[in-house]
Parts: sequence; C-alpha cells; structure tokens
Amino acid sequence: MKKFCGKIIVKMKPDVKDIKGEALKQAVKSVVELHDLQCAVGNWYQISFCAKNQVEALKFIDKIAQDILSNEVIETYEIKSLEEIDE
Amino acid sequence: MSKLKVGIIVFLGTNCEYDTKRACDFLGWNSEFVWQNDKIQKKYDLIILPGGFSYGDYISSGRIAKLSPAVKSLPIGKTMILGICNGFQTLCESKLLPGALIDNKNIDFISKVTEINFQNELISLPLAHHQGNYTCKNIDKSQILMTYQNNENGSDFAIAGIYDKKNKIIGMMPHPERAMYEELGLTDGRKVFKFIQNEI
Amino acid sequence: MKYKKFKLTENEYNHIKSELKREPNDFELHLFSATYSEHCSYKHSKELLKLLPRENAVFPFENAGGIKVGDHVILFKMESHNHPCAVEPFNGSATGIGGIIRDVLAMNARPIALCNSLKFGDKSKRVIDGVVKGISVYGNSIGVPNISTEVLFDDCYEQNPLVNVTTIGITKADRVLTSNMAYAGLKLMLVGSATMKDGMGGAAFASKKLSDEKKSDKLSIQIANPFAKKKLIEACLDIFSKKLVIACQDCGAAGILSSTSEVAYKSGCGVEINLDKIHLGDKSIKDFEIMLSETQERMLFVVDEQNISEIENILDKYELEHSIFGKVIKEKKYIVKNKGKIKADLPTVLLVNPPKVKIKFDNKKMKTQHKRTYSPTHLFTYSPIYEQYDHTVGARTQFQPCIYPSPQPSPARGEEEGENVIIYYCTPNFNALWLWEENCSLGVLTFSVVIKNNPFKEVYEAILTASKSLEEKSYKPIGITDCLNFANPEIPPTMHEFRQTILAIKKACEELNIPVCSGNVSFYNESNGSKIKNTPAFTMLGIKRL
Repeated sequence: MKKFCGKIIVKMKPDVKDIKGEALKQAVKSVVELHDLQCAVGNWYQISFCAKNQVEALKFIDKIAQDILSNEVIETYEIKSLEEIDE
Repeated sequence: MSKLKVGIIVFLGTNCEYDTKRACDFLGWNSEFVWQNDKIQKKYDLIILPGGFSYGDYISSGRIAKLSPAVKSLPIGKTMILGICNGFQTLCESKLLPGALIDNKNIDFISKVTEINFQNELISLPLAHHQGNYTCKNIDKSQILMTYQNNENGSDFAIAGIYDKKNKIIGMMPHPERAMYEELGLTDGRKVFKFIQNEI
Repeated sequence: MKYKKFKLTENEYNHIKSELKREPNDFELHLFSATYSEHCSYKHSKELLKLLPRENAVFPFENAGGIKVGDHVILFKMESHNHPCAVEPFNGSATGIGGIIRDVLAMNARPIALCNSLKFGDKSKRVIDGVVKGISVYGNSIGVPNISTEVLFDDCYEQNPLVNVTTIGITKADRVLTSNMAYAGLKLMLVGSATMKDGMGGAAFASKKLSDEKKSDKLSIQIANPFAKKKLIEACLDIFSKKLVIACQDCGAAGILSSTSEVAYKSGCGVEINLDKIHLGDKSIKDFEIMLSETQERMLFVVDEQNISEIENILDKYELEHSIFGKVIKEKKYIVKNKGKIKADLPTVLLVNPPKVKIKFDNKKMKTQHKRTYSPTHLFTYSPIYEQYDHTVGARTQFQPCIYPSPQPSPARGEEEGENVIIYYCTPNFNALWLWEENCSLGVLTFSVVIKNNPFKEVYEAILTASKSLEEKSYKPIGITDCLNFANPEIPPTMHEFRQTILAIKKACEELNIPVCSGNVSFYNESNGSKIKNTPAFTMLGIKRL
C-alpha cells in the first residue's frame, strides 16, 4: 500500500451564475482599478489516503470529487495534483 | 378517515423539526422524528425533510445530508416526500429533484414574508434562506408548483417550489409550517398542506 | 512590578500575598489576571448593582435570571461583545450571540428568541457589515429568531461600536438547572469543542481600552462555530431532560477557569482540576492557556459518576467531544494539577473576590469631542439589516415588520455638538412571541439611552416611556434586563454617570414594580482619541393574555 495525496479544485460551471465571484469582483473593484477584471470563487480540497497504486488512487479521488465535493448540476472539479507521498 | 402518518427526518443541524411537528399536530396528523442515521423502516403517508442547516451546510447545503442512511432509504414513488428549504436543497443534491439551489442573487440571507403564486392565487409565506436561488437546465414547466411574485433571490423563472407528480416528490423554499396560525397573522401555510394532503 | 505583567494593581497583588501567606506563582497569577479583571469580577459595579430591585425575579444571580409565567419560567439576559466587534466584527458579534445563548442553555432553557441593540459610527462599513453578518449567520444557523433590533448611529461609536445581544429562553419552572448545586465527590466534565488558543485573554481584553496594535488584539478574538453550538443545544437539552447533570455552567469569559471557579464558589465547595485530562485541539497550548482559553461552544457539567456513560452516549450521537477532567472537593480550595504536579492551590474565595476598589464618583463635565454635521450621502446602502435575520423560525414571532427600503435620518437636533443620532428605521425594536406553552403573548421591547447631560432623568424617563409603550399595546411589563455600556471607570465622570444610571433604573423599576432579572456591565468602551457617550441598553418584557 502506498500513500497518496490529492488536491482538488471545485468551481461553478461556466454557464452557471457565480454569485460569490461577482461579489468578489465588486469588492476588488472598490479597492483597486483593474482592466478586464474577472473573479471566480470555488473550493480547494486536500484528501490523502492509502491505495495500491496511482490508478486506484485516481479512481477514489474521482469518486469523492463526484459524490461529495461537487454537484455536477452546477459545479466542475479539477484534480490539480495526485502525488505519492511519504508515510 | 385515519390520521395521516408523517415521518420528519432530523439531521445534525436541522432546526425546523419542531415547527414542522407543531404544524402536523395542528392538522391532526401523527408525526414522529426519524434520525439521520436510521433507515426508514416504518410505512408513512408523508415524509418531510424540514428546514435548517444540516451538517452546518458544510461543503454545500444538503451535500452531506444526501449521504445519510435516512435519505438513501427514502421510499421513492411509494410515499409522498416533501422537502422544505434545506430539505429541498437535500432532494436536489440527491438528484431526486432536478436542478440545484445556489446563493441568493444579493449574496445575503433573505428573511421576509412575501407573496407566492400557488394554485392560481397569491399567498403569503415566509422565506428564510441563503441558498434559495433555483437554477435548472431544461426545466419541465409542468413541474413548477409555486413561484415568487417578486423573485427576491433570482431563481430561474422565479421558481419557489417544484412537484414531481410521478415520483411523488415536492420541494419548496418557502416555509409553510411557519404560516399556520392566527396568532402569527400567517395562515396560508394551511393551503399548502391541504394541497399535499389531497395529493397523497 | 511583576503584578503589572498580569494586569493586577499593587493593592491586589499585596492582598493575594497576604491571604496566601506566600508569593503566588506565575501560573496562579495568570488565573488572577482573569478573575480580577473588570469583566470577570465586576469590581467597579458590583456594589452598585446590589441596589437594583429583584423582587419577583427568579434566579437573578444565576447565568440568566427571569420571570415565572404560569408553569414555566422565561429566562432572559442581555450581554455585550463590544471590544471584539471593533477588531473582528464578524466573529465578535457571532460569538457574542454564542455566549448569551449558552447562558440560558446552561439553565436547561431552550433559546427561543434573540434581540440586539447596535451602535455604530456611520463611516465604519466594515464593522456594520461584519457585525450584521455575524449575528445573521450565527443566529440563523442555530435556528433562533432575531425578533427585536435597535440600530443607532453616532460619531462616538465610530471607534467603539456597541453590540448588545439579548436572548430569551423558556423552560418548565421545576426543571431549571443552576450552577450552585455541586457537592464533594461529583465529577467535572467538559463538553463541546476541543480547547484551543482562540480568545486568549478575552476577559482582560474586555477590561481595557482598545489598543492601536490591532494584531495583538486579533489574537484575543474567539472563533464562532454555530454548527457546534446547534449540536450542543440539542445535546444539552436531551441530557438535561433525563436529569443526568447536577449543576451546569457555561464556559464564557476566561473559559474553564471562570466556569469551574464559579461553580465552586456558588456551591460552597472546591474543585481539583487535571489539565492533562482536558480534550485539546492545539498541541502547542501552554498550561495557563488551557485555563484561560475562550474557545467557544463548551459547557461544564457537574455529574455523578454513575451517569457518565449515558451522558457520553448522547454526546457521541451529537458528535460532541468531551472529557472528565476533575472533581468537586469538600475543602473550599481551587487546585489545578498537570500530570500530577500542582500548578495552583488557592482558596476559592480569594480567587473569585478581588479586594474592593476605590471608586471615583466625581462629576467632571466633559466637553464632547465630536463636532460633525451629518450628511445623508455618507450613508451607503446595504441589505436592510432586519432582512438578514431569520425572524420567523420557531413559529412564534407575531409581528412581521414593514421594511422601509432606505434609512431615514432623524431631524437634526440643533447646534449642540455631536448631537446627530440617526435611527435606521429598517428594524423593529418591538415584537412579540406567542408562548404556545402558556397560551399568551410575550412582548419584547429593546431600547437604549445615549446619555447627554442628565443621566438620572434620561434613563428614568426612557424606562417609563418603554413601559408605557408596552402598555399601549396591551402588554403588562413584567421584567427588564440591562446592558450598561460605559467608558473607563477610573476616569470621571464615568462612575458618576454609572451610579446615576443605577439609581434611575432602581427608581423606575420600583415605581413600575418590575424586577431587573439579569444584566451585564461593559466598561472601557474607548480607544485612543475617542470614547462613547455612556449608553445603557435594555430589553423589557411584557405579557398579554387574551
């Protein structure tokens, strides 16, 4: 068994209103003038666990991301990294 | 006519279960609480998922509640299921109802008694939510049960509640259980429960 | 000058030394720094508060006092959380609610309503937004409706906002749990969040004026966790309903130290505490920090050993951590051990009672520092405050207020300096709760007095006006709670105005025949360059039977 650590980012789908992102945009505008400002707000997760190999670890991360971390109706997830780590 | 048997699911963080029970008592219905970790085993005429902040709304409203044994054992299609506010969010998260509830368009909590279009009339029901903004791709218009007269939270088509008649599942953001009593000057919640009773 | 490090006066230090007949060690001095602080000991206000009328109040000296209504008791109390809100508005106001909720919960009362009285300067958008959001997020999450709110603006609150919160709870009259029933042999159980370093020195923080070093002030901020509180409420009421706890005290200011010392003192016994048995959330926490930490959402249960396992089963159901960390002893001593080594051994009476302070009652006429003409364009728009509070949860709230879309300034009050006080009309300060249990209506009115130049007259008239206002709505006033927000008590004319305020409350309440059921005092509401106009705030309750 090896130990893995996965980092996942969850964002709103491009065609769904990102209300927190809009609010952040207004807040940034009130502090500094920036051209072409766009903001997105999402969540960052870190999950570490033991698995036989990278393939199996990826399967687990995908399942966790799909079942718990994101709601596919409105969100997408991206596995930023999945690395083997020391125990 | 025998008394209606109602199961009210309670999660850690639910806070409308007593209001819901009081409403059932008022209507002469027999209600009892079902704990989140228990599988639903008794036969009920109606199962209610009440409002609140189940699991602290961690990750997202209803996201963790949907994984509970109680929700996983809901008798779909056999028993009428009603989700109110957080309950509606949980039903959408579980894919038992289409669409999803996201943050209100003004990003704040909305608490007010407001006008709702229901069964061809305007009724007054309280709203109290942070994520009540209903969004859905390809909404089936026949499933729209109630809409906001003033669309305070920015929902698609001002949808406040939907009814999947085939699977006997209703979800709504307004709180009918808080609008049952003359003492509070709000009684239109009775109309909502009467409708549900007729559908059972 | 060692005592200065521990915020003690020379007099206090000498008193401790002479009572102990030895030098207190550093650990013990840390304990005294909290218990002798103004916030914990009420040393400037204690004697005057004894003047307030308490007849017909129930439990006026417990966590929250109240009034009997039929077979039930309505417990209510108002508290302040001013200093934390100036530094970290969101957590400051949220934990303010958390604290006051615990006070009625500790007495086995379900909290059924919240009220708040807020004072801001109109330039502090960050503070206003943060405070309102904190109250909103916390109150809404735990499902307790905010029903009565008062918001006032004045320049004097710009650096020193006032956030006063009232909670109202209900329980059966014969089921009230108190903190004075402990006896030797019982065990001490800590329930709730794992103790960490947040809120360190909070009691001392509230007992001094705000410093310019905001960072160190930030370390004293407690972190709110409404989900944990909600679980705590349900677990406690479940456990109390099964009569499994003998005495209960909430862990508020000075956390474990104050809750255990209060129980020991009120029960007339002592305690022995083992620091190494306490469930912790931070491995780096020092021994005295464990005693003083103000980690939120914790309660102290005093229990009989045979009930421990049943209590633990219920706590596990609600996913709440717990630890058995001490016991009640017969000797009136306060003993703290860490891994068997004694860290503190003090007489309880000495720990809880600082020596009397000399109070300066001189009436020095202070020239108000602010001269500012108010301009409505200064005000920014944001969601009406009241719409962010869930006010219908609980199905008891009887009035759904008419919300005005924008704030209306009150008419300008002439040329007097610093006179412009604007009332933000979007909040109702009167509301009523239907008491299903007793078939009657409980009227709730929140109001305050911004003292100008005649404290006695202004406070007296305000209370009479409030009472009249309740009577006009057919409510018979039955009780009042107060939150007295004042400046530095060591500098006149603070204590003069404080005494006049107490005398006015006494006169008004005796005339109206209503007791002061509970209350709170907040001193040191000032920071470099600015101090508040002394502001007593109140919540008055009335009953209407059909």
